[in-house]
Amino acid sequence: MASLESDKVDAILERKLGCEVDRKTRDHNYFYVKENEVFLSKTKISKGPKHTLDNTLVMLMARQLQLGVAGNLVKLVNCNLNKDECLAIIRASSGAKPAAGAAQVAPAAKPGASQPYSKPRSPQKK
Amino acid sequence: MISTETNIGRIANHGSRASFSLPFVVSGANVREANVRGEGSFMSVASSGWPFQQAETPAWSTFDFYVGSPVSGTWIVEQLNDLDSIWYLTDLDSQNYRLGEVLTVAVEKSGDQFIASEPRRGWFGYGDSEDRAIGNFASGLVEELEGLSAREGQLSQHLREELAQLRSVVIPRR
Repeated sequence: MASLESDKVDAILERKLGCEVDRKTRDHNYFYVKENEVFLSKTKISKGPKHTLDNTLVMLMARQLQLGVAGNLVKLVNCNLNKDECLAIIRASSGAKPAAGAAQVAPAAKPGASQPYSKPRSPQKK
Repeated sequence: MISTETNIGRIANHGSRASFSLPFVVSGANVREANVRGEGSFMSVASSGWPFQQAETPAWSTFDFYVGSPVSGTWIVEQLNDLDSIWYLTDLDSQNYRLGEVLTVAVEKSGDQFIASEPRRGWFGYGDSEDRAIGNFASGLVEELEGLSAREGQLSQHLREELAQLRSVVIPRR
């Protein structure tokens, strides 16, 4: 079960993913994923004291962010997924064109980054 | 990767919930249909701009998903949450906006939080009580409408569609 602390997700979305953050609204802080002056996706965290985002919330936030599955948001927060990999997933999911000069990562070719579960590799022949 | 139209899963569990998530769509997912056998209801939903299917299986039934090519995804089965309740939201408790339609909102307990969600359009809000979850759901609709409207010239196709959906439901009061 994936669960994340709200303050940690807040910090990672702003600092690591470089989201534009809107803290002026009454009930939520909003995180907008921006690339090349285009907003690709967004999510929100309720204002108030630090709280635990349980599996269902993590899944809903990952879907809002266009990160697909909850595991990808967990990987982002736990530093197993970097900004470029996240943007590649978000671009693919939201139908956005890659930014000029951005690495065109084929998300489907990176199962570790795209799915919460990876099949064990069969032993390779030498 | 699944090639050609393929049956990707069958659920026959008693009272379980299944969702098929498609994080990556190489050339357009084509979720053709889900067949339900047995008695009971079937709900199929797709979020805005992000293709996924979610269904609830009634007791002693099965359903099948067929997905076109090429697509990759994840098949997730989870137990039904017994604490689900349904609210019918008729008002946003806002001086500036009203609802253009009655929204059916599911509220469930998840960890320490109650989550209010309208899964068809991916809208949700949460809080430490059912009332607060519903309140945050409603205020979130207004906040998101205003936030996206303020950025309207710089939105991706996905967010433009979400803004259009919000505008069709969150109506300015005259």
